[in-house]
Amino acid sequence: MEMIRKIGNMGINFMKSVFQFLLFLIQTIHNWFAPPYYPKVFLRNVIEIGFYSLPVVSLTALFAGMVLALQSYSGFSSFSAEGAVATVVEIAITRELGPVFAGLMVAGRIGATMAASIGTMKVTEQIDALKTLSMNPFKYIISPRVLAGVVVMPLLVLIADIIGIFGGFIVSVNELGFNPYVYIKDTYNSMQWIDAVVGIAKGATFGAIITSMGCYYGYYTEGGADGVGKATTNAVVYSSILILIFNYILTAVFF
Amino acid sequence: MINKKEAVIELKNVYKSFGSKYVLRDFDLTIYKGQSVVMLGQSGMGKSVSVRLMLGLMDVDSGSIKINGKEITNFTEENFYENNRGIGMLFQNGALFDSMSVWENVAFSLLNIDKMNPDVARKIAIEKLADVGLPAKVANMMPSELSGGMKKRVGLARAIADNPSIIFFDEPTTGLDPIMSDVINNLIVRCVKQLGATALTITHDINSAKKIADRIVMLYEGKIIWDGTPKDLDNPKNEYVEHFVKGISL
Repeated sequence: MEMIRKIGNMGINFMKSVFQFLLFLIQTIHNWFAPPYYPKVFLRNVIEIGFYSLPVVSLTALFAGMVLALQSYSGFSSFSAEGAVATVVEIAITRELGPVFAGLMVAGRIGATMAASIGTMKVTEQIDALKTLSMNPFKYIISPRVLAGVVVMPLLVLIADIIGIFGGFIVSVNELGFNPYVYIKDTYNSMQWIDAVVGIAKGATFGAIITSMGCYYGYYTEGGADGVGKATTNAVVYSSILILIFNYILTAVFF
Repeated sequence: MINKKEAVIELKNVYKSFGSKYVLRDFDLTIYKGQSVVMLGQSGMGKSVSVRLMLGLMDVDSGSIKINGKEITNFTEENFYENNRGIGMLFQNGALFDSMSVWENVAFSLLNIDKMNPDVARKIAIEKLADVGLPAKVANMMPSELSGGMKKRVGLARAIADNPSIIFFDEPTTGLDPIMSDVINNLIVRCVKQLGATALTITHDINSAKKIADRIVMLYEGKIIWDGTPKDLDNPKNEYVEHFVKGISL
């Protein structure tokens, strides 16, 4: 009986959290369309999410492309299909690894930062101070951050795609003896417009997930330093899980 | 000048609970225009909760709260943002925005709500900092570089930046040494007088209360149990208030 009650309570709490998150999301999106706007806050977050994430996203994509080239070569060479390496690298990077790795890296960097900074604002009454200064925290803190994530992530994914393909190119040409001209031609021939669409769609979705989870857990932080720590962990863990789930959903949609 | 005909803050039969525990029960308080009221009470008696209810930072369970004659218990969040214009608040720990410099903190509502030119807003911020005894060189510092007393002063400058008609002070002297406490008390008295504002201060510091208030109320178990002048506090004719003033447990 006790067990059933516990499971029931867990279910109710889960549904409450989902409902609370949906309301949070509606309020966030509503404020995208309701003036006044704070372009400086938006631009600051574009730089924070986009520009400062470039090194970590680029490095991850570069090595992902390099590893992919090596592994696909070792697999394909056993049945003399080495020529497919460029195609596999291109498809795998643009459709899957570029968006997912960029998403996970940004989740670790930005999701955690947002949850920690907004959580600290919450526990030190800075959010309350905003309200007493007649400022809607959604308008000033949440909405610009989430919008910046949605706008910037597709660009980051695009850059990750280019660098990932370049990583595959370096390894294929320098280590595996591919002709650079042929490799580039193969890569170009295997490219389809849908690859870019998938990348942009995944980037925008992951950007929304990362920033909304970071803001949500930060905004509902309770307690002191311990609460901020929990919010940060939850933001990173749940945005990573959601990135993988939505990656599958979007792949299935565009399959 | 106190105008006893014009109630600026009016709470009637207010109830607020957390779970099964009632923090405020049948709470009544009326503050008139120009009054500087201090609410005394032990920790956990509901002083901060009552102020948070007046600012719309918490929802009331039942009862009526009127600010400037407007019933706020049925307000939407947007209504509160609108209503809070003209209200200043000094938080216990300052609650300064740590990503902004001191002058940006002070001029926050001027820059972001009133959309004032940054140069003009900066000038006003420096004037307000001077009003609370801080030199202009502090303006470019970050909150992390300030002492506790300076943070309170910056918080006070921010609270008065928009010339509010109502100001709330939450434990303004907590955590400060006696000399700095006196400085803050004097600043509060001066700022409230200069603005001609109505003020509500919550504290458990008797010396502060006597200095700031022209009326003192005592909160106990969610209700106002005593109401008098600072002079009345010397002979309160109430056992609990007497113990509180002397710092003796019942």
